[in-house]
Amino acid sequence: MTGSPTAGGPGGGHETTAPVERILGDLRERAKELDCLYKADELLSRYQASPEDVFGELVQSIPQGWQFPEVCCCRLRLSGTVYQTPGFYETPWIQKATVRSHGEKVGDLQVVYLSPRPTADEGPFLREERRLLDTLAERIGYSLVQRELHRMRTGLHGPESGEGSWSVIIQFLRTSDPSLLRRLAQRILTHLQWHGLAKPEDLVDLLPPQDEMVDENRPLPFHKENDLADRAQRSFSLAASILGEKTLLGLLQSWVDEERSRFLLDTLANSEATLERVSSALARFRSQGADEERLPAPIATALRVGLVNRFLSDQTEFVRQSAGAVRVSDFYALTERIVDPERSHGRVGGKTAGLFVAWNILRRASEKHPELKDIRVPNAWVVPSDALLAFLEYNGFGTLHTLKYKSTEEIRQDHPNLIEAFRNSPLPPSIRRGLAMALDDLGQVPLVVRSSSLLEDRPGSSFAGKYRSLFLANQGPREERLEALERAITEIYASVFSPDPIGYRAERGLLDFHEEMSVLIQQVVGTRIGRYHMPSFAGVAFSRNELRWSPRIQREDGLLRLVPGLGTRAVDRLADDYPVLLAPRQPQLRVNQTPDEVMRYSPRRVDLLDLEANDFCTRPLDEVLRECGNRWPLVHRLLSRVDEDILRPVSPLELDFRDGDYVVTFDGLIAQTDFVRRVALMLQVLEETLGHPVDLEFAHDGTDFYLLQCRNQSFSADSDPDVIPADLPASQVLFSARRYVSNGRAPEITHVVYVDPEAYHALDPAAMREVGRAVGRLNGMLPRRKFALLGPGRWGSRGDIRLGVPVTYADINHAAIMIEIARQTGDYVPDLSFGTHFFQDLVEAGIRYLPLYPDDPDVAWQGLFFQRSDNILGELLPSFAYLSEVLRVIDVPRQTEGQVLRILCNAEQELAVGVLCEPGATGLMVRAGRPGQNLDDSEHWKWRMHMAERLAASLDGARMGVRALYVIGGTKNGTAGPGSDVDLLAHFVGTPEQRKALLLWLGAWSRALAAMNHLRTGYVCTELLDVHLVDDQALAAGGGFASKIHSIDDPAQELEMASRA
Amino acid sequence: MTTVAQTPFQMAQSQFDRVADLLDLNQAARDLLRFPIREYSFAIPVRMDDGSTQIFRGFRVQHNDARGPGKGGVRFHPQETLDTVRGLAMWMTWKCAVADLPLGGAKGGVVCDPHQLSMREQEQICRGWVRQIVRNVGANTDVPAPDVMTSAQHMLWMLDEFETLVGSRQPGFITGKPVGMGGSLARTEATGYGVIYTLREALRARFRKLEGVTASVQGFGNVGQYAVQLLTKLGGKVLAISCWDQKDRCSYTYARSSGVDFDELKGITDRFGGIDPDKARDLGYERMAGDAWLEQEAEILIPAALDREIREDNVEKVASSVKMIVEGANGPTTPGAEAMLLKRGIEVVPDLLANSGGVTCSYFEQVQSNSNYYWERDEVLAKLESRMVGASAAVLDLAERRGVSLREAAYLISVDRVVRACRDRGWIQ
Repeated sequence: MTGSPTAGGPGGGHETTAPVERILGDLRERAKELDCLYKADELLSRYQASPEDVFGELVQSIPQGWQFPEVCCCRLRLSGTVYQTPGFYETPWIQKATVRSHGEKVGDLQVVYLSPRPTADEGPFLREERRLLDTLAERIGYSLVQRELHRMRTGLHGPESGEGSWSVIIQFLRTSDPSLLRRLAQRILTHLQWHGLAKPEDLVDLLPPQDEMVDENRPLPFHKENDLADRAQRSFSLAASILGEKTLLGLLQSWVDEERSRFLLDTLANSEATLERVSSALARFRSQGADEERLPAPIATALRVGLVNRFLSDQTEFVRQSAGAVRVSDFYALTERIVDPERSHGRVGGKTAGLFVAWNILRRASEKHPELKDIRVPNAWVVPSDALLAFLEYNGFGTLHTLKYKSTEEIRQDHPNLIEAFRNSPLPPSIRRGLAMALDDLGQVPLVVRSSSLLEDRPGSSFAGKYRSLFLANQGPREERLEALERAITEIYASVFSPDPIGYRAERGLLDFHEEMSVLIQQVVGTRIGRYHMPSFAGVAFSRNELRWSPRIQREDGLLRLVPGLGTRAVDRLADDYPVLLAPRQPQLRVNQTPDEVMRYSPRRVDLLDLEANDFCTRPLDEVLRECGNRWPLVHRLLSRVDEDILRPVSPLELDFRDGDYVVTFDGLIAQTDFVRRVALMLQVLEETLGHPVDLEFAHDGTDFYLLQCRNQSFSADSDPDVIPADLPASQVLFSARRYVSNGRAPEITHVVYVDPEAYHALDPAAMREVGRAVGRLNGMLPRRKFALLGPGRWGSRGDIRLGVPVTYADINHAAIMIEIARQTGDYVPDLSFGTHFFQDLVEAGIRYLPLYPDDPDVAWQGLFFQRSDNILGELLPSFAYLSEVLRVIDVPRQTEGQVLRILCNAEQELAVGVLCEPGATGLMVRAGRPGQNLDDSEHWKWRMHMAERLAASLDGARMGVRALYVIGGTKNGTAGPGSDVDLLAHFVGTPEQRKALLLWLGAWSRALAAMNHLRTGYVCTELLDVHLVDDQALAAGGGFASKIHSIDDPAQELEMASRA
Repeated sequence: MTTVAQTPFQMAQSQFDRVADLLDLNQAARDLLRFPIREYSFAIPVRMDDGSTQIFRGFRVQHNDARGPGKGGVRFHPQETLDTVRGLAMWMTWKCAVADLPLGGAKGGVVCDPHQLSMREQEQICRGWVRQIVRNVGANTDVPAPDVMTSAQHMLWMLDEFETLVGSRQPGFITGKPVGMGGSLARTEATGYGVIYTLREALRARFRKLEGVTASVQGFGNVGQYAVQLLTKLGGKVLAISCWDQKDRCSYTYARSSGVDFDELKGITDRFGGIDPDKARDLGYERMAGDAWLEQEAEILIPAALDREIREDNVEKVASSVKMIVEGANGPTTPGAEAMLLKRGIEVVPDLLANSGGVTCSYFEQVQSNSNYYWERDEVLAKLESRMVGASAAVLDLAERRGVSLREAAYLISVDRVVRACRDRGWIQ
């Protein structure tokens, strides 16, 4: 091959074989699917050997491929030459195939049986033998072309010379595809012209003559193919002299590839094209053996984007992330597993798309990371999104689209009927046919039918658990299995219209999107163990650890939840059981350290499919172990043996499930296999490639690791970071934290149980225990999941109770969040427990945990709010009122004029804030109040006036003896500042008892308003109202405050009361 | 708000002071026994999993070894202090003495939080602890054992390090080892059985037989279970058992007027001592509130769960039928509650004596390990019974003779025994 100064153009990267060979090879292999005919291929590729040797040997080898080789003979006739096995003669049991070269019949290939054999598909021959024969004939035809080309090339230029090898291409195209030759010749000239590489005079007689083009009355002169070949020859020759041989061949290669991908691009660009058409275009692309790696980058990208967009998702973010990660060839398998409704334009949905992209990323990464080899995905089929619409239309359910705008109550009431109606409605015939095919392909193994919604897994809207996943044991006669599958799909469809997802969509502003739900039908990973089917173990993995149980664990260390059997128990929170938790990058730092803890917090139940009962069920682990533990793959890696208070690894030999005492620890898996390292690497590769943290579901059947799902971690409910406004008014922020913050939502807090650290440490141990008991009692009284616990050090400390309030999990299990406060004592800050004492209980119950370090710089801590707010402990628990100095219970709305405490956590910013805000599920509405110095001056009197009006509106004047109530002074005049009183003037006409009641009532208002004003402005005062009572007498006298009522220059403003005396 | 709380060591000292007054000990005896005889405080450098090095603080306190080699656990606790360890070491001296074991009292600890450490790091701490103290511990010097947050696994690491350093097998260096690795049979049963042997002796001293006696038990873990097993086997009747329910996260009392069938109940109990409520109902047990065990019309109460379960605020609920409370747990009765019980004529068999079956079996483990000859289970239990009988008799006898409570008697005996040994050795006069 000649060197060239411009070497390195397109195609320059492929150095191993002569470029011309590659091009010719590609051209030859049009419309071919290669079968594995190694022997024939090997022989036929010896094109330097004589035809006699090759074909002679070939016919000898062919009978070996037939069912009865001992009576099988073969004959090949090629342009008069006959090659045959000894003893060949024609019998009635014969199979023939025509051999063609350049489309012309050049001979035939025959196979005979010399004596009769049992009848099969084609006489005694099998269907497969027919296919083999045809393929062989085809191959022989091609080999003839190949031999011809070889002869031409060696004849022209000698075997190793690359010079002028493009002329072979011209020779070949001249006979096989003249139109492509024309386009290529034209293109090379355009290329030279465009880049200014050739002198115009060189191009002049190669381009179409100018005069020919302008003469309008004469037909254009006809160029014969000879002319074409000649012109192409000269064009190529010119280009080769300018660009160099190598660059020219590179250009030709990429153009040929491009030519072949054009139809696919066109199809993808056509929004009218049905899935079926796109799939067949893709199949054609594939059958041409096109290699996308050699396509020009823009074309390859356009193809990938087009395919992602067409099959997976039109979310720009998703398309951007995944188009770089997938290849056109990845889609071949996907398109073969789609159950098409007629004229479908649907997509495969979020779940399928995420899994598809992730798996292909991992496959590709395995070249660099051998640990990622052999990661598998379960065999699956997809019913695309618009099949739901087809189903609705087919059954006349069109009106359902309006259902989502009904009230939740109505939807809820109707839903059971809807499920019944759906379950009894047939799927359209095209889908049924597709499902039957899918079922045959998937076989008689258990299936899980999962929703894969287009809205699901959009950024910020995790529909986790909102739609359904249904397990099918898939046993029994085919008809029954098909029926069960159809019923499952319609049930999934019904879930689109169930109240919860609709409510969720309404909340997220997604209601107006047309919900299309695709359905993913996956084989359930696992093996048959006795009467059960289940994976050895399964779990979920997260890139970010939002449950850090130790300050030594970073968020980036990730999180694994592992369970034996089906992963359903790892995905969902469990009320009465515990998955094994692990940080993949720090597997040695376990949540539970003592053998007792490990045993207490180990999985005790297992989810599995009972094939005999044809059902999904949950069984106690020890029963399953006794029943079939010995057949459970890898079980010795999951279990540890309890030997008094030591947990020992088990060897498969000693397993004895009748007597032995075992707990699930996964210790063997963690210590003895590379499983954890693989998962950590997987998380890392996926995060790096996709550009966001991921959340994976997986299962392991004892042999292979199967990826079941992959999505953006921030889409999972637990990982949603809260948006923390930068301009939160400081007075509304009760505390903030900048260490060990994890994402996750805490509900609105209406009550705070606050244990004062200083007062607590001053108690004697007996009194400390009493605090613990009081907290336990409060736990039963306060609104469930609406109160926060704030206290010093380690809640639930065992042993030394001075470390923190001695409570058990039962004493705090209704709390929404547990906050441990670490105050600096002397020169050190005590360690917090990170809730380790009942960490897993907290996790499973969804109770949030937050450590506070009020002495850190840059954090807020309004200790006064907790210390000074009204303590309702005495009201709730009179018998513990004596602990009021230490234990404070704050009714937040009562204290703050109806506000609630929200705790916003954003781990990315490493920031959590506790902020007072308006109740309500959506958004964060912080009350308009701002710190005093920043308040618009008018805010102070407006607020006072507003409160005065509210006070008056609730004043029962008739009962209290008030005839009229006025506001005077700064509030009325609009001059009140942040520390001003509110002056009220009451015209009192009642008895002394009424007077007493009135003052009492006003006193309460006064103190409450003072507290509110404190929160708004930071001004501390005990009372805000300054009330003046005037009676008839004083009014008549007209002096003092009474004069204000009818004053001309500064009149009192009367307020509207609920009633008047 | 209240007076500054006493540290564990100060509490142990003032308790000793009261006993010393009763025994009229001279100043030298007081000075010797108010403080540990030896204390070690040292640094343990550990290479952490992330490659960094962290220094942990370790302690070993030998309070008194006049009666024999020191005996006491090694605690892993984040806020461990030398002061706490001192107090606990003193308590071990009394505990071994009341059980009349030829052992002294010791305690050790490391300031660390095992929840924040990997197992490998914990292993390094164990080995580092042994390396620092190897010259001052050993089968004939001071014998460590498991304690708060340490388990048999930690003991085996420590043993291995010790044996490596001294260059020979020394199974008697440490106790709490698993059976087959130098552990003793019947260790799990020892404490619970000991409780019942003590009860039997206490009843015998009151001319009562164990047969036919009725009891209510709190806790169905190791101690509770074996106490119930032996009590029912010896003819007693258990009316009620309270236990923790992991699912409901609270405790329940299961009662049956015809009495508890141990095997039947054990069959429906999980490994943590939780009884299956449904199956219990099917078996005719009535489920009541967690603290209902205290109110049962039984003659004996056996608190075998946590400390401070019988307090001033619930002691009134103890039924008039109750004659005796046997403390299976550590510190289940508060001093105030005990005073009220004694006033009502209800005797309290103190933890120091009642649950000393555990430490006695630890002693047996030492003996077996030192001779490298391991006894049959029945042999262990027979020796345990005889030891418990002897220890109980001495306490009961002294209480009777001196007219003091059993708790006071137990302390008097133990301090007196230690003082005698010190005197015999000529340490004091």
